[in-house]
Amino acid sequence: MSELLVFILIYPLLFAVAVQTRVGKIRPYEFGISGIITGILALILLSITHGQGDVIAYPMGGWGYLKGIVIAVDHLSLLMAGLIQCIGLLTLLFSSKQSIEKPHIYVSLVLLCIMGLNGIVLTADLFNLFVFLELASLVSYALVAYTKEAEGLEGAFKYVLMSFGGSMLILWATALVYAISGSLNIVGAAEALRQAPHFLQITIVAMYVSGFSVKVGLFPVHAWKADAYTAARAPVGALLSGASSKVAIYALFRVLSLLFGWSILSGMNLGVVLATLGLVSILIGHMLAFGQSKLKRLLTYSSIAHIGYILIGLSVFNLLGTVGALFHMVNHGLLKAGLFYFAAVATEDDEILSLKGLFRRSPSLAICFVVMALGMAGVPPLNGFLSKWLIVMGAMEAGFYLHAAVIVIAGLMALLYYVPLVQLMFTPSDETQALVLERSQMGVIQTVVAISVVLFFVANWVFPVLQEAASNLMYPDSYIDTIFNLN
Amino acid sequence: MVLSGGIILYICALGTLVIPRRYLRQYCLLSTAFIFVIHWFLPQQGQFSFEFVGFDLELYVYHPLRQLVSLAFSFYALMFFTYVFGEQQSRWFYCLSMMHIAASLSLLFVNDSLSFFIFWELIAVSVVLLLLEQGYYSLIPTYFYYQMISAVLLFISVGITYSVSNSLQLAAVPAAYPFVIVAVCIKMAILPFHVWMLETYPKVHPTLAVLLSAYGTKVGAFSLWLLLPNLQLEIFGGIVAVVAILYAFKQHSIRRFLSFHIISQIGYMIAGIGSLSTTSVTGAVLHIANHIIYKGLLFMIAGILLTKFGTDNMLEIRGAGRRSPLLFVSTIVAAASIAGMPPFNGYFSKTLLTQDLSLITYSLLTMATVGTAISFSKFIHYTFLSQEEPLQTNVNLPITWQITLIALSFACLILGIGPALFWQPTVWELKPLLASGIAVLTGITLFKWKFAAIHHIAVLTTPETAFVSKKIALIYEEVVIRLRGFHTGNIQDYLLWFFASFALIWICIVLWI
Amino acid sequence: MDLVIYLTVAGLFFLGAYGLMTQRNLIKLIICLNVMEAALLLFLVRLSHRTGGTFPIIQSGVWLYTDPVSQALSLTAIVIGASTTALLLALSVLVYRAYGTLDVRELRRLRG
Repeated sequence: MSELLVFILIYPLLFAVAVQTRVGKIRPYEFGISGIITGILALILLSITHGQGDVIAYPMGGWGYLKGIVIAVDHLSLLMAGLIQCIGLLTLLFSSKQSIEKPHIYVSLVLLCIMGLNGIVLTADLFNLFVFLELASLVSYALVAYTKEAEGLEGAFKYVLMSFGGSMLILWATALVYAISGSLNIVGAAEALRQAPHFLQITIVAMYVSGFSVKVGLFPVHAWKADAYTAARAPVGALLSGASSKVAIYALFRVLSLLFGWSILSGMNLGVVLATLGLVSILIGHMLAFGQSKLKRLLTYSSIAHIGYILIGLSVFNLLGTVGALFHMVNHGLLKAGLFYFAAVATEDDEILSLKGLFRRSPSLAICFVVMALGMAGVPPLNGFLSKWLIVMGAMEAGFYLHAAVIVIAGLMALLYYVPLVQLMFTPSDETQALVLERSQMGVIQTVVAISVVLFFVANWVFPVLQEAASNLMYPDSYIDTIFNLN
Repeated sequence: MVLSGGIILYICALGTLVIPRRYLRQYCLLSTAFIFVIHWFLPQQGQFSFEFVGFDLELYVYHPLRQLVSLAFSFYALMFFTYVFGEQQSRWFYCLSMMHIAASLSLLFVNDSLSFFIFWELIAVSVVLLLLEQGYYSLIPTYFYYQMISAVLLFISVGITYSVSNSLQLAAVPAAYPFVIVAVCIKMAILPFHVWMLETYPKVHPTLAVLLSAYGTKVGAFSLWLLLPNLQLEIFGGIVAVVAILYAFKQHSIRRFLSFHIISQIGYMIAGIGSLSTTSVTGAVLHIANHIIYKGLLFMIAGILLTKFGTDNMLEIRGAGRRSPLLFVSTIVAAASIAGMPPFNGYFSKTLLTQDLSLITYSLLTMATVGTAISFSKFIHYTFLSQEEPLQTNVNLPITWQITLIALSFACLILGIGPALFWQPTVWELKPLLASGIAVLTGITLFKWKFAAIHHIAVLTTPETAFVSKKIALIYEEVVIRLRGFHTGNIQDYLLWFFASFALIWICIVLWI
Repeated sequence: MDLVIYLTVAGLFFLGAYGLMTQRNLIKLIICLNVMEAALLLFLVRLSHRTGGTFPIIQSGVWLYTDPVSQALSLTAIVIGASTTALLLALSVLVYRAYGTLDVRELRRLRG
């Protein structure tokens, strides 16, 4: 069944091209949605055939891992792929009722973005990873600038400059890896790299970290993110902050842990460096979100903070923290996407003040917001609490007391800006005209809310999956073996 | 496997969303009665434990003291739903108030810190949702922030305990003590942290106050026993009891006055639990149960007074005693209970509680008893006895209110006499009887003679709002504005940060090696 | 010879980075990006170099080829760079229409 992998990789491309042909009366959204559903079905099929603890690898064109390009999937990749398709599906479902000009192009851009993200998740080849990263980024630039309004262009321009700088560093690191090891396969290059001089190792690690942290939007390079996501349409913001930034974190940790192994990395104290970056991100993100006047900007800063949670969870490097971080990727991806959808329908001009009296105008929407905000702040019984708990316990176990304390306090800092929003929504205003939503848009938001409540209660069933994924990240032996056995 | 009663009540609470509107109130009564019966016949063996995301949760562990408090909680829930029987409330009000009770009940039986923390937060969240539902938007921030600060501190302490002992045990390790103490103090509304209480109980609808006043703080006092079983807090409790009384003297709003008395009574509980002797701890936990009964009764009286007389100021209501004898009698009972007058329940638990205390704490608590007697004499004197206006017609109370008043008054009496006769006859010895009798009588006499003088030694300024937190908020805002100033929107600054971050990471790694 | 190439690579990269942070004109910024990329391409091409090697097509009697992989890498990188440049140029046209200027420091509507 390993050919399915190729299908999952390229199905968005097929559908994106097909949408462009405009054969017959293709309605772009329906077409794109059915495309993603096909992808999800393929994913489900793959995970059914995918045995316990198994890694599937597929050498493209039958070349081995040394010369050819290998795509490989384990539980971690499957989890990420699932997250990407889910958020892609929700985004397309939601945007289908937004009046977006030239829907054909919009849909194929979204699909191409999903393709790039899928590629990052599935590939086991460093250069391919770079290419897919660039593909996803290029499409994201276009999506951010899609409105062609002044702000959108400005946001996109900043995004391109910063992101291109990040890509440069990633490509540099890739070239250095190739120069040292003569292989571009993540696994194949690892051995030579571990014997490389210290100086080069450090340089490569630093390049990867700062290159990917641009894409992620970590502390020193977070500023573009607020501008780009504020300027983009809300569903695009949902896709980017829900899926893209998570995938970038995934790529960073996958590449580093496979190339160097955690023993070398912890010798460099990389865990501390990354966790500290995460810590500062949390503080900066929550502080800047406080008192914003634009809703999407507030959400973006909050998302920078949550990236910090995930980073701390991954860099404490124990099972609890990693599981928590992966869980938080899912939770935050869904909830933040939901909040962006909310931003799209609740306000027209993105001004927070126009939320006033929303409860009277659309009670269910306001209640959905309350639930999602509580979930983001990490209040039980919502999924955000559980992942936060796991990350904090992981950090405590590893001795990162300060980081754990900051994560805990960050919940309070998040409430500092969510509670006034809730207050504003429930205060009556002059405008009493009911806000009528399209059923599918409301449905998408309610789905997100329902998932976030349900994920708490079924966490016991989700937990084994996350554990598998976490152990794949921490102990990638089976991944390495499978790729070695391809020849 | 035993299902915890709180969880069953949660399921019942979900039921309120589907039950037909006509039977909603009966349904609430029935389910709380059912819960009461469950807690009466609680199995002594058996556990309700399962694995949740890799942690072992224990949602039900039997202990007589846990059962004792849970009985008081569920009995009061029954009384509460009888009290609101005559009112028209929305479906969500019933659901959320049941969830509030359910969270408090569940917390009593847990034996691991994860579920403890979850229920700790759920209590606060249900109150916030209740406030939202009732339309008190302006009260939410203070309440929620205080509760969340408490939750944050508890979370940190749980984390520390976990990292030290590698288990989710409830009893905190010494390194976590400062966090736990502050967390529990906020939950109990101990004096510097009492603002959330004054922002909620006296300002909400009386019915909501009747519900909230019973559970939130008492859960905090009970969790003191769970979280800090080895910490001496005796004298601290005595001080809390006295200081809160000093604040209570000046209050004229009945519910503010009662709120300060909650704090003072919690001082007794702290002293008992913090003395670490078995008898005193038992007495303190019993005091929690009794306190729920008589303080609930008092809050109901305050609610009835507010509804029937239109004001919350005890100086403006005059002659309520003549106009509603039942209200008067039950007030006397409740006041006698809270002051520790034999043979009411307050006397019994206070006597048990003070048996093993040191002399200092004992004298502090006696002072608090005198103070309680003084301030309740004031309350009864102004509200019920004084008559300056011409006599007005009687106030008719609805039958449900009459039932609750009578039932709770009888509970005060029975809980005072019953256990004392069959279980601890020692409390009927002459010494404690004389001691509390004299203390109460001293209080009443002092009020009659010298109230004006006492009034002046009371702590003069009552902190109305959290001025400290306002200062912190200003600093926070200032920092945020500075921080925002760095984000100039100039892409070249951001690019500089980018290259600098690369250099920084590189240097950090090099230096660390 | 190697040293010269590596120095050129480093010099071009830092020149590009310096330009990115100092130049005001959008078009100049785009050129700077391309200079940075050129440094990388030079490095990649240098990687493929084998002294005495021929072009990488299998011929009889020839054993030493230049490395095809890094040449492929540089080709792909060129493609990506070109598309990014195209996108940036298109964006700058639109930005000029919207803001009436090509000065990057005027693009500051989004901040804070």
